[in-house]
Amino acid sequence: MDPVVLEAETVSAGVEVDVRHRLDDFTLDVSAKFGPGISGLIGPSGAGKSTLLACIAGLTKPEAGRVVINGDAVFDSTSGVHVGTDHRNAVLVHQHGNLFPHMTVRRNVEYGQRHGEGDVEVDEVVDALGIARLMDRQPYSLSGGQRQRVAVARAVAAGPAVLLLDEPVASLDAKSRNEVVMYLHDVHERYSIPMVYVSHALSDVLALADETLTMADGKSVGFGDTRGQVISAAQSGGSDAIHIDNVLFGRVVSDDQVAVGRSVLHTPRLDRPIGESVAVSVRASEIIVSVGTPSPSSARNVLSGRVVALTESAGVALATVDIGVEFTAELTQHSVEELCLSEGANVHLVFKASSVVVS
Amino acid sequence: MAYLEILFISLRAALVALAIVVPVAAVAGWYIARGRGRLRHLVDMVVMLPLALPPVVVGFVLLWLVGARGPFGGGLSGLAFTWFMMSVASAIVALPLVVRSFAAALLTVDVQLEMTARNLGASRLRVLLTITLPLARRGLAAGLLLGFVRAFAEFGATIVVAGNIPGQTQGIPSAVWTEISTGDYGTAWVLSAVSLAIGLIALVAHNVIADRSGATGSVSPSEAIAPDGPRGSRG
Repeated sequence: MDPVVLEAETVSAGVEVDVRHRLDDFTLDVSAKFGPGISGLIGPSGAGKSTLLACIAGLTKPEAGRVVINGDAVFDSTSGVHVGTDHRNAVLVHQHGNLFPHMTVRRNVEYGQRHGEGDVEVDEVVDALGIARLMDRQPYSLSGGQRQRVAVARAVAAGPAVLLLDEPVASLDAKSRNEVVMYLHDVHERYSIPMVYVSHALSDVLALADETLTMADGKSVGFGDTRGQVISAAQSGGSDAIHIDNVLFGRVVSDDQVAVGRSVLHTPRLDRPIGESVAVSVRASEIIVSVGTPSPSSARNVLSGRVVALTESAGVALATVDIGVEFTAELTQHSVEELCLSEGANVHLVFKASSVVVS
Repeated sequence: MAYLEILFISLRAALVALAIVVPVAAVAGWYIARGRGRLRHLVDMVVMLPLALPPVVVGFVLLWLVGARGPFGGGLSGLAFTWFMMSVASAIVALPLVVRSFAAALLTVDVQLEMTARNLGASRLRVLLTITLPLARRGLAAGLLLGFVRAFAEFGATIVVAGNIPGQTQGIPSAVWTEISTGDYGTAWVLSAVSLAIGLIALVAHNVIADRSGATGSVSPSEAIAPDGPRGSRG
C-alpha cells in the first residue's frame, strides 16, 4: 500500500481520551474514543460529563492520562505534553452560551473568528445558524435559543478541530431546543466538525448522535449505538426518566406536512415556506403501536414499519420501529404481552397531527 | 492668597498619588479577588492597614522611613517635605479604598467569560484587554474616583511628612488649617467651598458609575475573599 495513504488513514478524526482526575471527593476515570461524527455523552448529574469536556477543552488539566484530538496529542502526562486551551482548538459551548455581554452579536462571532485557528467565513457561519438579523443586537436582548445559536456560531467561527457542547439546550423550551438541535445538525452537515454533545435530554442525543458514551460516577458505563444507550439510560433512570422525544429532521412539503426520510408526517397547520428545513419531535409516549391494520380513527399519522428493538424495564417497554427512519414508542409491558409484540414484528405507529411538534 | 497655586498643589498631589496607587492596587486587587492561598488574607490586611491607622501615624512612619534614622540611613532624606512625598502619603492613605474597589470590580467579572475567551483562542493578555478590563471598567473607574477624593482630601499624613510649605506642599487642607490658625476664616471658607465642590463632583461621578456597574466600591472582606472563586459544575 502506498505509505502516504497509510499515514492518512491512521490519523483519525475525532477525540481519544483516557484521563484520570480527582476533584474533592469525586474521581473522573474515563477512557473513550469519539469519532468524526456527532457523539453523545449522557449520564446523571455529577457523572463527570462536564469535567470530561473541560479536560478535552484544556480548561481542566487532568492528573494523568492522554487526550488526542484529530491525531494530535494535546495532553499526555507521561511525556509532559499540555497544550493550553487557547491553542487546543477544542471549542466548548456552554449551557448559557457565555456570550460576551459588552459586545454585539457581530463582535461576539468575530471574536471567535479572530482568535481561532480556522479560516471560516463569518458570513457563512451567520447564514448556517440563521442569525443574520441579530448581528447588531446586544446579547441581553436575545432569547435563549438565539443566544445559543450565536454561541454556536462564535464557536464554529473559531474553526474548531472539535466542538464540545455542554448541555447547550438544557435551559431552553421544547421549541427552541429542537430549533438549536436542528441547527447543530446542519452545522455538522456543512462543516463536518467532530462534535461531542452532552445532554440531559435524551431526545436531543437521539436526534443528533451516531454513537454515545454513558457515564456514571466519573466512569464510562456504556458506549455504542445511541438508541441503545439512550434506551438503557431511560430505563435505568426509572419511569420518571422516560421522556423520549423522537426528534427528526425533515422538510416542509405542504402547509400541514413534513417529509422525514421516505415518510410524510401530518402536522398541525404550519406557517412555513415549502422546502424549509425543520426539526419535528414526537413524544414516545404519544405513539400508539398497532398490530394489523389499525381501525379508522382521527389520528392523521399511520406509519407502517418493523420492530427492530424491544426493551422492557419496570413495567414499561420501548419499541424501536423502523419506518424508513427509526421511531421509538413507549408502551406498557402489559400491551407488549397482549399484542405478542417481538422484534421483527410488522406494526403500525399511530399518532395525532397535534403530537408532532415542528421547530 | 494664591488660590490657584494651592488648588494646583492639591490636584497634583492627588493625581500623582493615583499614578502611584494604581499599579499597586491593580496587583493587590487582582490577588485579593482572584488569588488563591492564605497569603490573600495577609495581603488584604496589609493594604487595609492605612484605613485603620490615624493618617498622622502614616505620615510619621513615612517620615521615619526617609529620615536619617530610617532603614535607608538618610539616603532618601531629600524626599522629606517635598510635593512628591505629599503624593506618596496621599497614595498610602487612598490605597485601601482603591484596592477594595478594584477587587470588587474584578469580582463582578464572570470568570467563565474569561475562560470562554481563552478557549476561543485568545491569549491571557487579549482576554485582559478585551474581556476583563472592559467588563470591570465602571468599577475600576469608580475606584479611581474614590481614590482621587481620598487623596485630594488628605491632611494628617501629608502635613507630617511633607509639611505645610506655601508654594510647595501647601494644598487646600493644609492651607485651610493655616487660615483657621491665623483667624482668617474668610479664606478658610473659600478654600473649604472649593474642596467641597471638587469632592461633591467626584463623589457624584463615582456614585453614577458605581450604580451602573453594580460594584459599589465597598465590598466586605468575605466578598472580596471568596473561598475558592467561581467553580464550574462537574455535571
